[in-house]
Amino acid sequence: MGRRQRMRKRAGVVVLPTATATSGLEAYLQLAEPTTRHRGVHGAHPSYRILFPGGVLALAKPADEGGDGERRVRHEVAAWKVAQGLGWTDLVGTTVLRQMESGVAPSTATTFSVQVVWPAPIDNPDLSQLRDTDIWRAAAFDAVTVSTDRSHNWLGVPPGPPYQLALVDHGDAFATTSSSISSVFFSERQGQPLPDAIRQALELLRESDPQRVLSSLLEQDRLDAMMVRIDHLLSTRILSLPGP
Amino acid sequence: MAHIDILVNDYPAAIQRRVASLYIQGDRIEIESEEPEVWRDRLLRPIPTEEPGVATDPDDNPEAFLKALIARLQGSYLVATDWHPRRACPIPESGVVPMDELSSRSI
Repeated sequence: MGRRQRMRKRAGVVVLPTATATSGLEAYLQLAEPTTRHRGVHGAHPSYRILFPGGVLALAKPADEGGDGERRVRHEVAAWKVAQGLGWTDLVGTTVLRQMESGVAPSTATTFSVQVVWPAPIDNPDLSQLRDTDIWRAAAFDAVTVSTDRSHNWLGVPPGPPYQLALVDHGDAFATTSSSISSVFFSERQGQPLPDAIRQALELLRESDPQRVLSSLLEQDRLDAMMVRIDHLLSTRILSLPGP
Repeated sequence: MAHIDILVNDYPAAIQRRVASLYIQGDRIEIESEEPEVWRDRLLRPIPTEEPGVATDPDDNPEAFLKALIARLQGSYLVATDWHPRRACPIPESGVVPMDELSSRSI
């Protein structure tokens, strides 16, 4: 009964609300037994290829490889939750935490972030090949999360250009200090008035109770700093960050 | 001559595929690639440093830029190798490195 009430119709077709649909995807990614697992040979922060039953392909990052892996995998999931809170579930791939067998310590479980792989992505396209609205959304997303590494970490999802933007690699996001931000998107729009759609998304995020949703994923000081940034953006209505 | 390789993680194909090799010749960065202009545009952009408003420019300081690029390009989709001499390149001539298959247990 409850589920039926949450359904809605579009063009006469019953569809699940996005939040319900992505929750189902999250549960699948957390619980489905992988069909195959592969590990990239090169890279300081190794990525795993996970193929799930039914043909869903995901990439996974382990907590027990690379520096500060335990924090990084939580931050990957936190970024997805922020995108979800903003209503921008097309901007970041659905990401969950789950246990799988370690790639470096056989018969030992470790935590992985597991994220859906984007289809046939264009690696790191120029901003001129992206939609203006996506550049704004990325700029606001990076301001909220204080992305410290947005120099190459984005994809273009075909068809295009202009491509749909997908943001990846958020292990080093959620800095506590605004001055840590390093984002070409933020730099592109810094100091400009926030469009109405961006402000509405930020309101949605604030109303989504991010402190509860993110409490197990972010350290308290990082979470507090993020809330200050959201309030700052909404009160100034300018793409800027509070000092220092 | 030493160079770095730029690899794409091609998840559907379960391979890492080289898309470019970068090296310094004279005072500039050269690119070997099947699409040199595409990858020049994507890779040779100034990289912000930890100092606000300051970036490492590939034309001003090629060595520092490539060092920063190696540190930054360790993502889910794009990966840079460390410096290595061409004769000891870990990437085969085909440019394709199959991902290693592991057990699929989730525990």
